[in-house]
Amino acid sequence: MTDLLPNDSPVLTKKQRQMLRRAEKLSARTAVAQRTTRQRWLLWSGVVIGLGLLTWLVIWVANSPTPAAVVTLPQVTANDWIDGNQDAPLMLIEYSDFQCPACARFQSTLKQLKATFGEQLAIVYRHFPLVEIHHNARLSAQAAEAAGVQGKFWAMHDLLFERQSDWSALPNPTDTFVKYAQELGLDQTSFTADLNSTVVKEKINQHLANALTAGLPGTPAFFLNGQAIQPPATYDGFAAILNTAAGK
Amino acid sequence: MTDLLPSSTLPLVSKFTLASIFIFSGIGFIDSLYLTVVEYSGRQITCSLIAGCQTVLASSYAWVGPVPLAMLGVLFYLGVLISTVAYVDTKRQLFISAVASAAIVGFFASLYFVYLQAVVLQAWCQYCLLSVITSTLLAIIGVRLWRQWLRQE
Repeated sequence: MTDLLPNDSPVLTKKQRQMLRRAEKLSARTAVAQRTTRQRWLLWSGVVIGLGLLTWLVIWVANSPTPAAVVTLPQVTANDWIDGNQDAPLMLIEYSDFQCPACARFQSTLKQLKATFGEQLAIVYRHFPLVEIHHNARLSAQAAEAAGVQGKFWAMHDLLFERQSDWSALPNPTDTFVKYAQELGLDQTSFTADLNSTVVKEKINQHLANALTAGLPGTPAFFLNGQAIQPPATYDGFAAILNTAAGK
Repeated sequence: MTDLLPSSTLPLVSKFTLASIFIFSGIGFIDSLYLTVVEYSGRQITCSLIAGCQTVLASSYAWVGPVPLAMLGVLFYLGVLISTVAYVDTKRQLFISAVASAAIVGFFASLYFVYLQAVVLQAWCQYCLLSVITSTLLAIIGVRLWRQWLRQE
């Protein structure tokens, strides 16, 4: 600043004093501007880093494994719906509800797993209709069982999950399920009779009772070779669990 | 950017109020982010205080199309947090007015979720209730701020 003024001049001229004031103002303004920019940078980088760390921590906590619950389930028998060989080394039991959105989302993962593991993996479907919150859960389970009487359980199973959003909100989806049966080439009269048969209803009640006795917290609930597993979010995660169980 | 209210006529929001907004929206953000991750993973959530989390989270009400409801909570709390930081940074009234207004809207959304749990599902999820508490506290702050501004206008 001093170099703006001649050192040997004891008295400043009016012009020099103006110049000095202007230079001081400019310098002060620049310093304030620099400080403000630095503070803003600190604030926003702190926010971004803080939120990033928080997000990472929450995701890590939410994905950390919880100890598997000890539950007793009925053995897999020929009466179960098994996609695969009953003697397969990997037996994955799924307690599920056709009206549960989370269960529907797992279907593509399960299909991929079956395609990858082939005869090594058997998937067992058991009913756990959450009747208190899904008013069509029981009827949809009955529809799958009724299709099963004519050998089309898995075809109806796939259709019910694929079109879940079409029938979930219907007050009574019976007609829709009959249409699905037609689409699958089932005998309509038998399907309608089986849909409300005591045998079908009893089977679902039995599955439901087993799920409740085992204290399953909800759907989908998975058991691999009798051990409860927390289903991972991704196909890769699920495949890794199966590979470990298969000793690979 | 024009302010909703002329900032020159309004006093700055107190540090205490801003800190409260940060704390409540931070808790809400963590809570709803946790639920979102759990929802996307399809895992069963552990309820340590009350039973019913799984019932609520497995219900069709927990999703809006392909998006979990909790994700909307994440966006809401994140929006509140970022807007509050923007207000601290710029002192523009627009940001804090948006926070106060969003907090009130969020409260009414929470009321609807309480109704769903109490009447429709008849099951309670502790994580959802925590979000109800944080959004209610934010709404109280929002209402107080608006009352203060309207009185001074």
